[in-house]
Amino acid sequence: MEKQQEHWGSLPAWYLFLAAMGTSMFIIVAVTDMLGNQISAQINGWVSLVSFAMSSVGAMLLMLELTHKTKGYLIIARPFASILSFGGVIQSLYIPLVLVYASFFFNFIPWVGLVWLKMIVACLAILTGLLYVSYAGIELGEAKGRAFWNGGGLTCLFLINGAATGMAALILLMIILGYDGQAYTLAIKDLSVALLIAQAITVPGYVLGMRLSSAEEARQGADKLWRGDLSRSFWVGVITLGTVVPVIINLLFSSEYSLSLSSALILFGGIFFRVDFLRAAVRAALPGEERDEPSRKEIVELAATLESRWQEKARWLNRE
Amino acid sequence: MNCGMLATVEDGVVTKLVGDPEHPFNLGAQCPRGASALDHLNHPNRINYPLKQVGKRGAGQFKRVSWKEALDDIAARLAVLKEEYGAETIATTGGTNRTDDFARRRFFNLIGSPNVVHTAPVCWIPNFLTESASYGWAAFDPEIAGARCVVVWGHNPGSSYLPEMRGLLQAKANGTKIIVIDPIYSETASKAELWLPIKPGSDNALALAWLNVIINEGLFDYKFVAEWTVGFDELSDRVQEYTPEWAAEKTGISPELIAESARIYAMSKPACIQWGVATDQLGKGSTASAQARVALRIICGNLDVPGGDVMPGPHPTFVTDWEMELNEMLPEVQRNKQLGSEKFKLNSWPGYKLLTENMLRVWGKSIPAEWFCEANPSRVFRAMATGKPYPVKACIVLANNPLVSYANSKLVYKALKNLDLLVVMEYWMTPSAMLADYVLPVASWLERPVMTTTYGVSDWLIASERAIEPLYERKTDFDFWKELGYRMGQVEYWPWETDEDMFKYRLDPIDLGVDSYEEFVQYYRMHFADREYRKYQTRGGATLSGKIELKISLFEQLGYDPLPHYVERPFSPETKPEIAEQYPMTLVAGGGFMPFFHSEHKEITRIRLLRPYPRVTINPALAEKFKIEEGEWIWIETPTGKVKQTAFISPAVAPDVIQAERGWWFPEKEVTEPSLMGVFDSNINVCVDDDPDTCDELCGSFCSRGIMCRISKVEEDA
Amino acid sequence: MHWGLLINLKKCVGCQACTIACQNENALPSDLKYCKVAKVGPHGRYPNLTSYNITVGCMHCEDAPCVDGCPTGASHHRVDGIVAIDPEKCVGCLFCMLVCPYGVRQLNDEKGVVEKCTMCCERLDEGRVTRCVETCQLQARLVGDLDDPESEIVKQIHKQNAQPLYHHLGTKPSVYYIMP
Repeated sequence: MEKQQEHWGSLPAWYLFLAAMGTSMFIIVAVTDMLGNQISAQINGWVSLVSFAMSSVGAMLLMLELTHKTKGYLIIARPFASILSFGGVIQSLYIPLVLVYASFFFNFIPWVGLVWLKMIVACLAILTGLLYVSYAGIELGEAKGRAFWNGGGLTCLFLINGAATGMAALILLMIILGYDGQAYTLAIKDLSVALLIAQAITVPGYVLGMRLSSAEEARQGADKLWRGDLSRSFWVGVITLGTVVPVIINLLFSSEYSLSLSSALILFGGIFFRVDFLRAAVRAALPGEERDEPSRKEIVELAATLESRWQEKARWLNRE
Repeated sequence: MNCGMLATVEDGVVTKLVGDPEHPFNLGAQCPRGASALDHLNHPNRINYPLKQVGKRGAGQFKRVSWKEALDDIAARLAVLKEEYGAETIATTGGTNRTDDFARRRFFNLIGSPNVVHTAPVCWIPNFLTESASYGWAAFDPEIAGARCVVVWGHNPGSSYLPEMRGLLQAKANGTKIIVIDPIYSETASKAELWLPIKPGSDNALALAWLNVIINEGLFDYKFVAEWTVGFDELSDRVQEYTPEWAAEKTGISPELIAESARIYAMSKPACIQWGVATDQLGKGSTASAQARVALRIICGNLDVPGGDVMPGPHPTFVTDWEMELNEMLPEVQRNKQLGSEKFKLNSWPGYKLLTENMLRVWGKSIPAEWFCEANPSRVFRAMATGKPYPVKACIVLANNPLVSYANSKLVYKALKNLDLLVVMEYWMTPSAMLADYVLPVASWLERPVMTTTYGVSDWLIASERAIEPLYERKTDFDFWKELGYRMGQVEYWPWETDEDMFKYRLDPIDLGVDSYEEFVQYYRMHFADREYRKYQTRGGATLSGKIELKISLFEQLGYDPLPHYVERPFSPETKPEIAEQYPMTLVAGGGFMPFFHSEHKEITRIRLLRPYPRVTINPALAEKFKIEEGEWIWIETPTGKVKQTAFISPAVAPDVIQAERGWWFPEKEVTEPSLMGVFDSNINVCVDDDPDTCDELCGSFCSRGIMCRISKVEEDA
Repeated sequence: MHWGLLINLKKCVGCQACTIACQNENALPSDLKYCKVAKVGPHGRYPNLTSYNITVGCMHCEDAPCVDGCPTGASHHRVDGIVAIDPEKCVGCLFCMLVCPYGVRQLNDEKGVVEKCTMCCERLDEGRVTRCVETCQLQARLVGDLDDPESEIVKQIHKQNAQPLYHHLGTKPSVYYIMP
């Protein structure tokens, strides 16, 4: 039986986290900028650059996972058929778009004044960004036989957590840039409290729903989080430290230190959330898989030991 | 049994190997061993050259020598030993399905030693000889396809003999009822209509109770019994005490189920009782168990009828193993020295002489002395170890690994170490070969012609030619005996240049007009003699009375009980109450299992990876009691010895029974003493006793099914 | 033309000959198995037990999640229904391993590409049966054309009411099982 999903490990989890966080923070700032918010107009360039960096690092992590990295471009070969390919295309569009968008905020760039162009780029970047943060949930939902991911709510959870982590990152960035205490920052903080409360309800709610699922493997996956081997990282990492504690901090305090702490905790919880939700999706066990069999690694090692021993003995047996 | 294979040879190299679709056994299929046979042929650890031990035995200091040097020296040393101690000081042990057994016997008859040994007492021979004593040959060719009921008794073809399993399942699909009698929920049991989960070793009690039910309920074949058998009334009187209620306690099966299953067998005509070897391994009472089953077959009228248990008889024209053995060359005085023959008389010269007289009268041929007339292994190893009743100083081991294959491995070790000359002809450097003075490379089936005749007792034969000449300096066993024979004054008795010449000589009387052995293989491949049913009607029984004997006169002549009877298990709380508390569990030490063949194939990496470590099956309740987890190493201990295997937790065994795998050694472990490739680590025969008092009274079979034992956790992981 | 396999679990004794023969046929490293054999059970309490054996390889689904999900087009359907992998196109993203409900895809570490049962398509193209069918001592396996109502495999599927494994997942496998 599959103990946990291990084909996609922590690198894809980091990728999902970084992409969702970076893109969310961009979307928030770009939208508020379009609505005329002054502060967002001032920090937009930096946010876009950070978002660009996050997405690029995430994309690189994804490439690192490939066995044939030089052929990685093949990933975008089937954008209308394969969701993964679609995501690759969206990512390839989003990353340059957000970079171009950032360029409108630095005065030495010659096209800084072309407002209409900035609007077009902003719209395109926001659109691709939305697709970019949404596709991952749909992608995992494709895995038949991993019913833990098949719930329609998965995309919502990913969006909520992506937005919460995006806001946390935004708050951190604003503190660094010296915008703490501003009304905009506090509004973002309040928004994040609302999102975290939603997260505190929906994430356990999703897991609870999966525990009641008719699919055995969904129940198993949910149980891993609820009370199984992933329960500590889930309850402590995701729910307590990553959700509940930041809510309390943000409700009670609003100093730059408390904000930094709560934001860091939210990001920390976001990582745990992605890792746990990837791992928990075990495959439906086939008949006969209830018994443990040696892992491939064990078999390879044993085979190598035996083969080298045979060679050693062959030299002894056949010496002149 | 040998399956048919087709080898593709390019430039003298076997490049491909597939099953032969025209072969009647495997119909083109292969088991894991067949599918990896090329790894067997080309394995880097095959013995390729004659090796001479130049250091201390077991130290692994071998030097490559020429065949001539090896054979000259072996012959000279054998001659000296024969001179000093008599020919009987030279013994041999053999294996199964790999060799031309007659050649070994021919050599030994010519040098004058009766001390030839196989694992015969625990492998089919008690069964075969009991049948032969009762009706003149064994009815070992059950016509399953035509049977309405098949009883698979102590046999698991689903793990050990797949072509037979295919036949069983085909029959089942056509409505044949399958009854499996086995203490273990085996692969075969899981596919059966009815599984009788008997206590290990209680087969005899069950068979006697079946006789009781069938006779008392009048379910037997009156007409057949009256016309063709003797001894029915005595049998009927005898089995009165063996009621289903009596057997229920011994077997653990309810009286109702015993009666019901007996009725199914008796009322489904025709029916077969398929032979297995588990009932040859009950120790004391093995032959008694065969005797009761023989009576079942007879009274139900299933002997030698279509869809029943068909008796082949010898091939009428082919020169059989028996004709090739030159048994007449072994003088009476040497026959009398056969170790164990004074006690275990059925499968040694006393019984064989009487059987041969009967068989010659009816068939004109007898069964081979190989397997059917042998020294008792326990006695031979004791004679090697202690010099009593006389010293056995030399042993030639061919196609077997005695340290793993015989009971009481530590005694076997002492025996082999005590020899003046140990010669081992082998594929592999086995633990036993490590102790040898000479290790000689043997050709495997692709490098030699193979003739399948079921130990020389079938009325058919299937032949194959060699795919390639032997690689390196490997030789066939026939070549070995012949060349050793040359050196020991037997030149005139080995007139054949090659294996093929010898087979050609044996095939000639069939008169098929072939010019060579290869031509026979090419045009005929196999030969099935015309077979008739109910030969007891046309030929009479090959017994003293000329009839089918329910009261076996040959047993009477040898001084044994001629009627089916109950023998208490050699190891049970009843027979050994003094150790019952210390050893509360019952060990089943054996049973064939995929993917290995006996003790072989541990070196074939692909096969080994399917089963890297030995497994002992224990019930979940027992595992819980001892806090044992799946895969954990556990000790298995009997008064004879202690080994460890890994726990396989499964309800396939009863809560107080464990089943340990047999044949385990580890070619990857340290080769030299004291490890000897871990031969004492997990080899269950270390725990199996062969005290002659616990062995079968007629055939000397040791007990490996139903031994008192205990288990414990292995504390440090080793 | 649509190749399919029929596996009779009433007959399989779990000898693993198919596993070994397949490994040899495809020259696979020891840890790669295109065809896995597992024992199911025994379940129950001694002596009231049931058990059977099952062999699992690629199900060659008609609606194959691996083919749909493959971003590069390496996993594809042949015209005869066989799900094949083009090693030149596989970049090792492992998404197919994630979405295969049967867990039959494995990464060949040496080649860095995902592999699985090919249904011996080269042998089928030459008019021979698959290696696993050829080697099976129990004759528990049958290969044939699922599109041909007269083929032995289709007749047996109907006669014995064979079903794919987990057909509720809706991937329309081409491998059918006769359950014990």
